[in-house]
Amino acid sequence: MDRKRGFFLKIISITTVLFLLMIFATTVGSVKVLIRDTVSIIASEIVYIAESIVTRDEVYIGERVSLDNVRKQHIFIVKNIRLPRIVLASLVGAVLALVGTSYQAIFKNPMADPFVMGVSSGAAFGATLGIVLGLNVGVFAMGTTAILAFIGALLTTAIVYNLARVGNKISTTSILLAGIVMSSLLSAGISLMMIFNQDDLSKIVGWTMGSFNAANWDQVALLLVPTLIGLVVLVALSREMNAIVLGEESAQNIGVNVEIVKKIIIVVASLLAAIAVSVSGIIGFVGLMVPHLFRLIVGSNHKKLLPVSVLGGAIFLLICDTIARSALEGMDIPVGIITSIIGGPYFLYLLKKTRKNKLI
Amino acid sequence: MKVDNVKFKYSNKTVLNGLNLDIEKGSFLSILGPNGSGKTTLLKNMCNLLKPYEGAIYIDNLQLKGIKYKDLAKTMAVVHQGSNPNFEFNIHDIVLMGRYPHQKRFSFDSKADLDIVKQVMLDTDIWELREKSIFEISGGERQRVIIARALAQQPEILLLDEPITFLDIKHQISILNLCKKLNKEKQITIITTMHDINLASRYSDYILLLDSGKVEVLDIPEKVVTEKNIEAVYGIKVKLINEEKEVPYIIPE
Repeated sequence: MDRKRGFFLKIISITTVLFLLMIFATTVGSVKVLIRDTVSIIASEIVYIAESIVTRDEVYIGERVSLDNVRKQHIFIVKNIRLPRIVLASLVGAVLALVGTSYQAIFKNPMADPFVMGVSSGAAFGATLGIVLGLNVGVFAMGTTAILAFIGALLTTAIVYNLARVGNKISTTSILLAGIVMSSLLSAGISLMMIFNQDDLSKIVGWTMGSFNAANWDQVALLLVPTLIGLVVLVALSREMNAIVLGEESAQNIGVNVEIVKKIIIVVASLLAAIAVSVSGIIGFVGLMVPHLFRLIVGSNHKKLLPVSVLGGAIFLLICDTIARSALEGMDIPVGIITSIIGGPYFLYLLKKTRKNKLI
Repeated sequence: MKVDNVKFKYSNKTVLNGLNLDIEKGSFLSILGPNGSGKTTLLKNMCNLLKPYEGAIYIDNLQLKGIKYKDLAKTMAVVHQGSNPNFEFNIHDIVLMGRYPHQKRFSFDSKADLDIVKQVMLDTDIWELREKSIFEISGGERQRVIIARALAQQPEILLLDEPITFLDIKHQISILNLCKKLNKEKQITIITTMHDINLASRYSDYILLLDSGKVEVLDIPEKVVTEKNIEAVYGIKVKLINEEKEVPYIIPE
């Protein structure tokens, strides 16, 4: 199959671009690191990890990559500060695009994004509560703020889901409506807390705009497994998504159990969105724009759209975060601002250019 | 297919009021009746989208609601009234979706799947459109695409909900000719709702005249399309012409 092979080649080349960008991004920042050095650091780390996996059998993997010529400070920056942040930003970008694509499919609405079910406002409410209460007990990789954000996100989604459920069926219109109403309610709550706690204003606003400045390997580990599981589940449902997009009734008539599929997708996607948001704060635009962008390029066939969007989301957020941490000397711009500034105009251009009789 | 005393209501409005039908394998049945008489509701009950609160529907002596969705989709395909999709797909991908009930999860589209898709696209005269987007084709072509997707399921029964309502006369005839061809050559049972009484009587083996959720008559076209029946159901006077020909035609008086 020539078309199929062509698609695999595309996937492989986009993945390669992502990895090259990741390596390049490690050199960027207030401290300039040579690309040769970062490659050595990453290579030595990979060899180290590979060795520690097979170490029982004393298998000789290869010569350790020498880091003698690399400054200690650079090794630390690349290994412990930049790499986890780069990987985390890519992962969150991938998750947001994955969730956005899936939501757009089951809601049959190209305007849906990862936050339609109230994940963002729920998370923001939880985070604000954490900041205001000044609690500081960390569990695993997550601080109190992140944990409360996660709980807030899940609770809100569960409430919205149950409000929209009639008997055994879920009405997608009700979900969108209930999501909007819950969001306004929670926003009101957040504003109220902000008024009474003006000292925490900047912290709250900073969290709301999203950032990766506290990224560490534990967060990466936390996000990696759910992302991979979610990716497998959702990609496995891409045929069903295709059918549902063209109408739920006709989807059932070609044999899709629409209600069950919708439930699985909503649960998996909401969990992913909640984890991503609690790690990074609210980063808008990625989950709306990336699926859209690639729909214009590869079409709506989710067998192609899902994997391409996931890679595209990772690349997009990686680029945005790299700009966010390096554009201004000594300052970390919230990445949510960058995603909108870059994504917005480009998206409008694309919309104008490719729109024919499409309804978007 | 057997419809046994089916009753259906939306909240408290009764739409189907004890329907009994016995539909022969391989026949071409048109369902006629005024707006609101329950045509579409009956069709949706037949394909398990709606469930009767009383009575049951059987296919090959199996009760419809006990059949798995995927298994049902191998026996029965449905062409719904046209809707405008928000999402762009190419024609080939859409027809390929009809293979869903035959495919395993995590499997790729097999050579057999692609061969069947090509065959049904040739049968429905849309193979040339395969690379086009659903947004780029006309209403008549779109209807053929949806029929092709239904055929890719390799069904024994094809249900169509007003397949020609929004088409011009040329496309109406071509869609009905296609249905007739499938009926004659592949022995697919055709069950379709329609508004055009004359076209129905020209193409159908049997016509079911529905009135307020009850069977008014179910018979061959000559017995159904009469001045008396049409007036009883639609409340208008019509004149029957061309009586010497095989199929009856009516014109409003």
